[in-house]
Amino acid sequence: MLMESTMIEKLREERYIFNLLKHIFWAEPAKEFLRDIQNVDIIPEEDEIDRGLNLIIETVKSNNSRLDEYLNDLSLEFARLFIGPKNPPAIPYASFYLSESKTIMSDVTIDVRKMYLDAGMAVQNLYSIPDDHIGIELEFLQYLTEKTIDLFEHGQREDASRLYEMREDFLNDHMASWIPFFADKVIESTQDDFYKGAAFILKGIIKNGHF
Amino acid sequence: MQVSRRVFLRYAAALGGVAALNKSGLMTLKNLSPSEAEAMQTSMGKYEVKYTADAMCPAECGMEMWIKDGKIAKIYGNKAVPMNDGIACAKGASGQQLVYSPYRLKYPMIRVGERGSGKFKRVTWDEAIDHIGKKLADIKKKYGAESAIMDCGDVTDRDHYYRLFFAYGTPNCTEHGSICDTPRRHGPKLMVGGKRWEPDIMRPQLVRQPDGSLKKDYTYKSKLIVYNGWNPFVATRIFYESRGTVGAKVENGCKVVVIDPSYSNTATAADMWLAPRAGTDGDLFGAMLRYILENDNQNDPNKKYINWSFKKYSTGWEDFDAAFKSWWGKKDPINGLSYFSLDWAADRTGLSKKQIEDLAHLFGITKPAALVWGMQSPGHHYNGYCASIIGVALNVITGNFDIPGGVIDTELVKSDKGGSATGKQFKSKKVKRMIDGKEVEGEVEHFHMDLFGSKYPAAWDDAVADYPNAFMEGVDVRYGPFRGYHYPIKAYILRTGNSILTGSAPYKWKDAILAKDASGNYKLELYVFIDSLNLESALYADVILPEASYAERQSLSDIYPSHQVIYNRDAVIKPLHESKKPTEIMNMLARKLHELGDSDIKGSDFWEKYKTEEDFVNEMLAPAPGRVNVGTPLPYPQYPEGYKLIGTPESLEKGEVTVDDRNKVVKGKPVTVEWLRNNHGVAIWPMSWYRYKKHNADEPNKAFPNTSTKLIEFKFDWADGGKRYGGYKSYNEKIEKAGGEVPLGLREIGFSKFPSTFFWFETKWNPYTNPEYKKYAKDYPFQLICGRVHHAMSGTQMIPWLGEIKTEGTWQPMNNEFEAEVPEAMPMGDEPMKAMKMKFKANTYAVGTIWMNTDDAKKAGIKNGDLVVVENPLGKSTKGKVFASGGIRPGIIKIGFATGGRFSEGLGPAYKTKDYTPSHNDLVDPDVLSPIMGFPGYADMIVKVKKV
Repeated sequence: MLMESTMIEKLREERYIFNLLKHIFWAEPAKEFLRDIQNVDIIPEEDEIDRGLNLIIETVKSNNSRLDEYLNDLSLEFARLFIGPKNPPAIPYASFYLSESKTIMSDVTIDVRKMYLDAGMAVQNLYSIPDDHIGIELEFLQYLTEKTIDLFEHGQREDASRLYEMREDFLNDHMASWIPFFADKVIESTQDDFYKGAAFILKGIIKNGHF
Repeated sequence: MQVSRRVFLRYAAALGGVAALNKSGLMTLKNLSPSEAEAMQTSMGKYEVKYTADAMCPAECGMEMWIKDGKIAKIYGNKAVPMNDGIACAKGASGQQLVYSPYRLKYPMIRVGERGSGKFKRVTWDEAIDHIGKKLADIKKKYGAESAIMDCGDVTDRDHYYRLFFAYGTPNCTEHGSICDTPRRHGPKLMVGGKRWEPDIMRPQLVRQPDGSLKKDYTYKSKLIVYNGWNPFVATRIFYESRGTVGAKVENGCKVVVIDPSYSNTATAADMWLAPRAGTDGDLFGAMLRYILENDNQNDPNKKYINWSFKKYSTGWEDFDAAFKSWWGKKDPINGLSYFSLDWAADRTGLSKKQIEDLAHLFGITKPAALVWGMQSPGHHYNGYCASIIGVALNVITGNFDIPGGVIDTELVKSDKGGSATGKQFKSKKVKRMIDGKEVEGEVEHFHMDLFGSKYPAAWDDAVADYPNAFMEGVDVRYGPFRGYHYPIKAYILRTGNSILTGSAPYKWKDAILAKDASGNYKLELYVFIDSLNLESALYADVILPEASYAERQSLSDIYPSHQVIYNRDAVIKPLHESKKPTEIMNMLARKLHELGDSDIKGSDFWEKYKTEEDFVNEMLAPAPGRVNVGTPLPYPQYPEGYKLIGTPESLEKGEVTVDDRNKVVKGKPVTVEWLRNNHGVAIWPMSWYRYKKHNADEPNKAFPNTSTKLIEFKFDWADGGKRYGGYKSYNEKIEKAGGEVPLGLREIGFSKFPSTFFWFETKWNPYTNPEYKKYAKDYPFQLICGRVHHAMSGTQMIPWLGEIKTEGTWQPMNNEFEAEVPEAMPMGDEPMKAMKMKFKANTYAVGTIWMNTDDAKKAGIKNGDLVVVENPLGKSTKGKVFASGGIRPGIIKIGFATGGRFSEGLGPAYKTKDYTPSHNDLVDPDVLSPIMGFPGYADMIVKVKKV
């Protein structure tokens, strides 16, 4: 068993990463977001997470002088990869990868909805936005992580452990079953280091049993 | 688990900023209160049954959808709807595949690259509406509102858009019906004020019994159905016809004849298959009519073809008869034979004299019978009008019109809907324009590009195919008050249509949409695409708006029944992603135009009036059923004959009505969405037949059909007692008022005005009937025809398990090996993704093919599956693989409509096969636009075939 303080530090770290990824996969980046990333330094690469982070940081830095055009490029790439109108190569919904029908809003989506409900949560735009969009799943993880930290810090260890378990289950049982495939799709479909980098981080998280 | 602290240590500070973006808390999720969570827990997993209308295909069957957890869990046919009587076909049952397709249009998008480059970025609805609104406001200011075309593509749920654009000030609102089967419905429209004639085989029918009760009647009465170029087993627009044809055969010994150059699926159920040359439908009908007129003998039971009582219910037969017979004395330059004789028809159709004679006799002697012609015959030929008119005459004089088991004009008897919601009233708004230095006043309607334009002023249903010309050259108004006015077309709003691929030759559409002016700007300044699906036409748009799918929006069925039936298209689930319902799109755009200063658009006509889509649909339902109380048995014996009926079946039955004797209206409680929901989604009023005569006397009731005289009209423009009558009257008056200026279409066929009774002219690109094209026969030995593959239309090519199924000779398993992501049952295991990308071996997946006769193929050294180029005399060509079979007349080539060359990725496997699947439309002559209504001659072409 890990020392509790070590675990909290680990959770804090993961919360940042989930938040970063959530922003990248939910919507086109905002300028402020890119500026923040520019402040991060490159580090030696030990694994896919480092590699992914470095790719993102390097590409954002290299576009420093043309940030507005770069934002435009990224929004086009975001649309091409995840939205359309032409068939997006990296469909961002779990059900696409896990249902036989390859449709969205399948039973897989409803199972995800149930997991949110177990944590007392629901999608804001219920029945319109599929619950298993990667951005929502990442937000769920971020939320659970944050809550877990909070409970630990307030000494509510039993509740904290329950949420921690829930988080582990969601990550290992659900996300691990589709995220690698989604990430591969992104990696093979884009020349853009920003999204490629984010996909490496996703893969790294799953492969490492998180970190 | 070892914790690595590197990320935390090195990035925490910087990423803290990122995290700070999230100050407002959750972006996508929300915390539920304990009671909310409990309510959700309790409701999950429960079914709710809703009734709706399909839109996977134009049959629009009644559906029963089971909703669980906010999603469609099961789809069944709605047993209460007689259109499909509880049946859901494979296509209807595949609804979830489309609604929940990951490739749907999800967000509003604005084009970033050049038109056609396919580069778009996501924008908010506000941004998209702002962009469109500003462009429309600018176009209206610079060129006039008439410069916008609202093309609703599909007829389904179009009224919101029509309303908005009529109010904006353009009369140029249309839908695909204008290019679909226009000549097919010309005869009925001209002669009875209707549209589509179908056999009386919708079952069940709700029929008034002698004891006053109403009974669902399943008995078939038909003894003969002749389908000419109509293939209900595949191209189902009228779903009951497939099961009704079989039902009438099996249960009533009905004979079925199919006339089609190809052995269609419907032909497989026929007792007789006749395969004439393409484009000779009118020839065959003409010969049948001549045979019946020459051989009718009222004293011989075996020759008693004509039921002369039709003369009581019609007018103008003598004129029609004389005009028709006047051709008998003429010799056809193509063969030197007397028009409409058996010899003449045999020479032109390629059928034997005996076959034609037998058919004419069979149709004349068998009662009740129905002669029906479809899209793939008169509907696709330049001269289809003639066939359609003779077809009406044949059914009427043999006494088969509107009798039990006969033929029914479905337009005349379907429930009325739309009412003031359609916004037609806005078209009478007065507007002014300067013409030759003078200010002229007219109405919005008078700008109509077809009705008042220089080409097809009798284009009752508009002419979409001519749009590329309009984009390039603008519109010359030559009739009505704005005569002499010219305006450009600057905005094109396309909704649920794919005109670039299907509205005549795609290359012409692309050229027109990409055309730029001298300053390098697109001549067409605004092109908006609205749909749930990403079709080829979307790739060229400036703005894409995702519309709620058919399961997510509220409206009404649009069907062709044998009596008044209307049902709800209920919004059974919430719109997915950020798609919006037509009511919302209409209101948003209306509000934006209003904000931008458009005083023609008022809140009281839009967003204040229609707060929900249900408000809109209730207004559409207000006139229902809106048909007169006529026929035998009289639908409502308790009300006066000939009075218009309005209100729910329930209120009319119970007598909860007011009777307005002055206006001859019986008004019960209005049909509403709520009423429909409480009644299995459907309202059904009683069936009757002989609706053109009094129920208790052999005389006209003067309430039906819907012509100028309320009689069946065999003449089209005549004066009597100082008054003028007939279906062509108003068009000829336009020409007369314009100093006799002849519209382009009529000039092409040498007419100076619309004819006053029977007329005849030849089709184009037919070397066997039109001497002008005889010279091409040797080099271009094949006639090219097309037909629909029901489950391979745009919307359903997205559903591979439908597309995979082969159909006739135009959709066969002749694929090259390809990889595609398709839904297939996957082996369970650790890596469920491995089976996702399927490799389809050659010849295992149905694709668009070129259907030709085995002997023709053999002569040309072509084997089944060979890749060939099909080329027309205009130098245009398409490529595809040959499916050779005996099931097609020699000298004919058939290609499915829009089955090949599909260049939108959204179409899944169809896209993968685009390089070796044929596009029929690439071979259509874009300048062959039929002379009266301007629709394209889809099946008027000749080709040669070369092996690649």
